[in-house]
Formats: sequence, structure tokens, C-alpha cells
Amino acid sequence: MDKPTVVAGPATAAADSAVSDFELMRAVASQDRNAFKTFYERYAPRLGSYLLKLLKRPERVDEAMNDVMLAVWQNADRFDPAQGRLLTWLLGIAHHKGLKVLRQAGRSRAEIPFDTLPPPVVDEAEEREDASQAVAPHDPERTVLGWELGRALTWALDRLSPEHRAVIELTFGEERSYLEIAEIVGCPVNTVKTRVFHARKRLARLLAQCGHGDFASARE
Amino acid sequence: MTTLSTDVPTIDPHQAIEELLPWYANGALNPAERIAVEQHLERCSACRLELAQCRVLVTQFHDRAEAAWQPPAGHFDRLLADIDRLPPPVSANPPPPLRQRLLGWLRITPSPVRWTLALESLAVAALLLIVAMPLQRTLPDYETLSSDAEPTVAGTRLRTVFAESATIGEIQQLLHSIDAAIVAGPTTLGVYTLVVPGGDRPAEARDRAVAILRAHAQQVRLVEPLEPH
Repeated sequence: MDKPTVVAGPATAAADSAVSDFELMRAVASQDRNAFKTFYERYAPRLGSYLLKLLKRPERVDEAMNDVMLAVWQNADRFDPAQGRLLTWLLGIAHHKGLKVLRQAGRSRAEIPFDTLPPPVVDEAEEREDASQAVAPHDPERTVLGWELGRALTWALDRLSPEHRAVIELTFGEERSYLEIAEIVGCPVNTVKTRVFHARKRLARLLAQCGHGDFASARE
Repeated sequence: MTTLSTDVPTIDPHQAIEELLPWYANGALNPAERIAVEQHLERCSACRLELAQCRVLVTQFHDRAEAAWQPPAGHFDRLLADIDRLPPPVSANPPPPLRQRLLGWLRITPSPVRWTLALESLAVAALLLIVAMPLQRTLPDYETLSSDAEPTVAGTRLRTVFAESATIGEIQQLLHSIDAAIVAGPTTLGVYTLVVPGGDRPAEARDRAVAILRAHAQQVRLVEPLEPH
């Protein structure tokens, strides 16, 4: 992910990849536009991927990404490697700019048509269970069927609040620690733990609606 | 006999562990937390189920087609154009420093008001000095049970988790045997921080303490030296 894709040629690409994050940010802080382009090519795809999960619509990602990059251009001197990794710092900026774009767009639950609920998958799941003869009925690691659960998960994630979706994505998608997530979303560690706990419960209830009831069997 | 009571809600140890399960599943816990979770999982079927669900989520997120965002054509050029339109940095026209602003304000203040303000400031400063001095002299050099300041103890620090079955007497005996003191803990995961005074040979004292504690596996579940600050 950190491998830069620089169009200027292999020699430049090798040179750019050798530049450390710290050196790169120092150059950006001194308003070096070439360094900023290297930074953009190194980090925009990763940040865009996170923003797409948060915002769902590419046009909103474009807008948020613009805000993120302008914020980096104006505040690169504030990055302190002693305080944490560059990617964590950048995800924090992306998170807040993404939520700002969502607020401006006035995204609400009413925007999501109710008929986008996926069709029940129970019958298909049962068919597969019969076919494989190898699925234990109450073991969630084995009863779920990859693509069915994947589709249900995508649908369920869309129905979480942006705050819940963000911490779930950061925990399970980005595999960040709770300390990093606290830094990214800007709230205390205990709030992160509680938020992930409740987001998982909500996710479990939504997955149960899609026939994945094993996820709703845990203690509330 | 006095009984202690508190209005502070106690943290449910089960919930504390349950909240850590997502990070146990994604491998982002520190060793002490990992051990605490594993000990809890041995006796909690509900958490084992929760962990299985977390692991399914880790796998699903890992295996799903990654949402890819590609910068639209000309995005970076438009970004540079936006940068060109940015207002000049605030530091180009910094506001006058506080001292200059105060001096400017004093210059337009009538002389009698200036003298009154100066005398009042002196009186307030003297009053603060009088109030502060006796406090410094009467600061207690002893601790009470309600003291919240942590005593400073020099020595090697050890992160320790005692077995739930260990009695207070056994723990005290162990601490005496290594000349250690508890300076922090327990955390929500039951971790205590001990300090072992090392004297001239801190490494030797530390190794001896660790060896003794590890030899008492019935009373001590985990002991590991903390890195010096």
C-alpha cells in the first residue's frame, strides 16, 4: 500500500519510494509541490479506500479527498512522528473530513430505500448445507456461507450510522488497535471500546435479518 | 470495624474482556491483555461465541473485494489549483503580540487609572503570596488512605498478574521475599505494577525477583519486567 506509483519513470519511482514519510512530510511542510505529488500518489489510494467505505459514493470521496489533501498541505508541519504513525494521523484527518462531507450532504436513513433489503438467503443457505454435509448448524465460523454473508455484511454496514461503520471498518477492515482508533476518531479509548461493542450488536441484529441469526445469539 | 463503601460503579470484568475481543481477533492486543483474554475464554462460553463471531468478521473483511477509489482524471491538478486559491497563511500578517497589545492599551489609558491598576495588581500579588506561603510550610509529609498522589519509588518495575486464588497473606509474603512494593494497579485486567529496589545491582535484583515470582506459579500468573521509562 505504501508503494508509490510515480509516473515519471522507474528511477524517480525508486527515489521517491526511498523517501521516508518524515522526510516527505517535511518537504510538504516547506510547500514542495513535487513532494506533495509523491505524497498524494503514496497515500491517496489508501485514504480513498477508507473514505469510500465511510461515504459509499465516489463523488463524495472526491470531495472529501480534496479537503484531506488541502488540510495536509496546510498542516504538514504539525505531523509529529513521536506521536504516532503517519497513516494513523492521515486516517484521523480523513475520518473527520469524511464525516463533515456526510453532514453537509445531509445523509439520512430516509435516503436508503427500504426495498434494498436483500432477499432472504435462508433457503440458499440450507441448500448449500445439504450439499456440503459438512456444516455445523451452530458454529458461526462454519455455518456462514462466504458470499452470502459477504453480501449481507455489505448491506448491514450500509445501515450502520457513520460513527458505528467507521469503528467497525477501522477494527476489522483496517485492523487498527483501539489506541489508534481513539486517535483517529478523536475520542477516549473507553468510548472506542463501547462504540465497537454496540456497533457489533447492531451489526448482529442486521445480519440476523438476513438469515445469519448466529450473529444475534450473543449477550446484549 | 469500618467498612469501606463507594458510589463509584465497579467495572464488570466480563464486559471489560468482552470489549477487547475484536482486538484479540485482529491481533492488536498487547501481551498482558492477550493473556487476560485467554484466561477468561477458558471459563466463559459466551465470550468464546463472541470471539468466533469476531473472527468471522475479520475473515470476511479480509477476504472481501477491497473497495478501490481511483483519483478522477485531473484530480491532482485541480487540487493544485485549489491550493493556489488558498488565502495566504495567517502567519504572513500575524496579530501583534500580547505584550504590544497591552502596552498599546495602557498608552491610551488615563494616568490615574494606570496607577490604580498597578496598585491593585501589587495588592493581589501580595495577597496570593501570603496565602501560598503557609501552605508550602504545612504540606504534610505523610500519606493517608485518601491521598491520591502516587509515591515515587525507585527501582525496577514489574508487571504482575496474581492468581485469583492467591490470598492477601500469600501476596504479602511474596512481596516481602523480594522486597517489592505495589505502586500501581490493579488495572481492569488485574495487572499490578511492582517496584523492586535494585540498589547497586538493579538487573540482578530484577532477575531474582522475576525468578522467585515465576517459581510461585500457584499465586502468580504473569510477571514481566517493564521497560525503563
